[in-house]
Amino acid sequence: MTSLDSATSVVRSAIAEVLSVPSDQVRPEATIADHQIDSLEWVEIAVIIEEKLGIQLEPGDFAGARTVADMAGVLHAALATR
Amino acid sequence: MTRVVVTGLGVKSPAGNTVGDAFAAVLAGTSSATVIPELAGGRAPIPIGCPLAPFEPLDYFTGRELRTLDRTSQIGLAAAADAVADAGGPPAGACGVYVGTGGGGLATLENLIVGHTLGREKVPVYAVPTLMSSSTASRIAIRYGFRGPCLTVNTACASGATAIGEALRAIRSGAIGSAVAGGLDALLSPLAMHAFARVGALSERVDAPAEACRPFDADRDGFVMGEGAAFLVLERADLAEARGARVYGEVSGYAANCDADHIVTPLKDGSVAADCMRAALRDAGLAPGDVGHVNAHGTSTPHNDSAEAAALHACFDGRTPPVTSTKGVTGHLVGGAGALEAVLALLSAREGLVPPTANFTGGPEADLLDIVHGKPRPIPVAPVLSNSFGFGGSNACLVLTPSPSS
Repeated sequence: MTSLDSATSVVRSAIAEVLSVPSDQVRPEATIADHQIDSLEWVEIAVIIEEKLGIQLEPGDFAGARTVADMAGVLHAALATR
Repeated sequence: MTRVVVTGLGVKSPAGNTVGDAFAAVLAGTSSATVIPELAGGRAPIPIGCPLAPFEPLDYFTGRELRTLDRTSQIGLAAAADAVADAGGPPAGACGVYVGTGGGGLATLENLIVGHTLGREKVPVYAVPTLMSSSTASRIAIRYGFRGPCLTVNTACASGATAIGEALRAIRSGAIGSAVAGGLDALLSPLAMHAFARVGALSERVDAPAEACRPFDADRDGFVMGEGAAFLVLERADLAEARGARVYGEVSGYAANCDADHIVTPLKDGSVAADCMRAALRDAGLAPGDVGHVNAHGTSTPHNDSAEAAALHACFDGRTPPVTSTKGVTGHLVGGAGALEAVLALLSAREGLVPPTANFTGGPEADLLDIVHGKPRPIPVAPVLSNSFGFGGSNACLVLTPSPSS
């Protein structure tokens, strides 16, 4: 099973890829609003995560997430139930 | 009649990526054609073209933006950004965007299909936003918040001139106060080049690329594909004056029509193109004798150049002013051609210096026309006629009247 740390790492690298920045610039405590991610970028993030972990998430699954760490929590929970 | 002035220019072209560089290169009269590595080794039957001068997209876009743009949009948006910056402030009034393209996202589609078919890549999230031919126009509007009409027009190789002409009409009509207008294409891809080769349009002088594009020359055998974009900022004259804008000149006349004859070959006698030229001069309120020089479509195809020579001879009743084709240097930018040539023609008219037609040495067309070649020709500062003709018989003629350079 994927650990929370691994889920966090995948989420950070997916966001970093879309923003074209190094992963370490996407801090877990950063709020998602800080990055002004648009609807197509959300789709891309979901696609990147799917390619890495084989899990299909919809951008809407992250609707309640406020921070990058929250997103990792959503992913971790989804992985735990599959 | 409402006057419409040019307040900003931007180019990304094989002749240079600034207006100054491009103008200097066409005055020097040396072809930019070369072998394109991506087309060599049998990947395209004709591996020569005029590539964009060295261009660094990161000078214009963040990495985040760049992921969402294809090459065509990068080039087009960068040229438009240069034009807006050159205008020295936001264009006055509601601003429209008018973009001409012949190929749209064709090269991007080609890459996508090849990659997808071979199973190399999934369909990217940005497939539709890059493939739609209106993509660059929308990107320009979004970047600057221009909320006037955002139009993409396609009249094949006349597209850039058509876009400028339609923007002129929209400003004259009162619908908008200003526009960013121009054209673009980037078709140096294996499929696109194979397709143009199939219809016999491309020069086969692959062993001597720099001699391949030779407009109006007796030994011409086809055009050389170029890639690039050019944009102009057009403003209603009174609005530009009120904001203290620097003015290059006016887009003073425009006409468009169609040969309605053949899907790729121009009407042999050039009679409909001649009508288009006359209509553009009438639209500018000028007589043929007022024109200081002509920037011809001059593709270097046997058919275009003979038909255009006949058309010019008829329009000017045998007294054609000096004629140049800057495609000898730049190659044929398809949708970008008419826009790049509008920029170069206006600068030539303003400086009183007509660029030479690269590689022209002589031929039957010289019996009809005074073709500038060898070196630039000084002329009095005067309006210029810029011709653009497209596959399908689309004709678009612009008249540009220079302001004295300060």
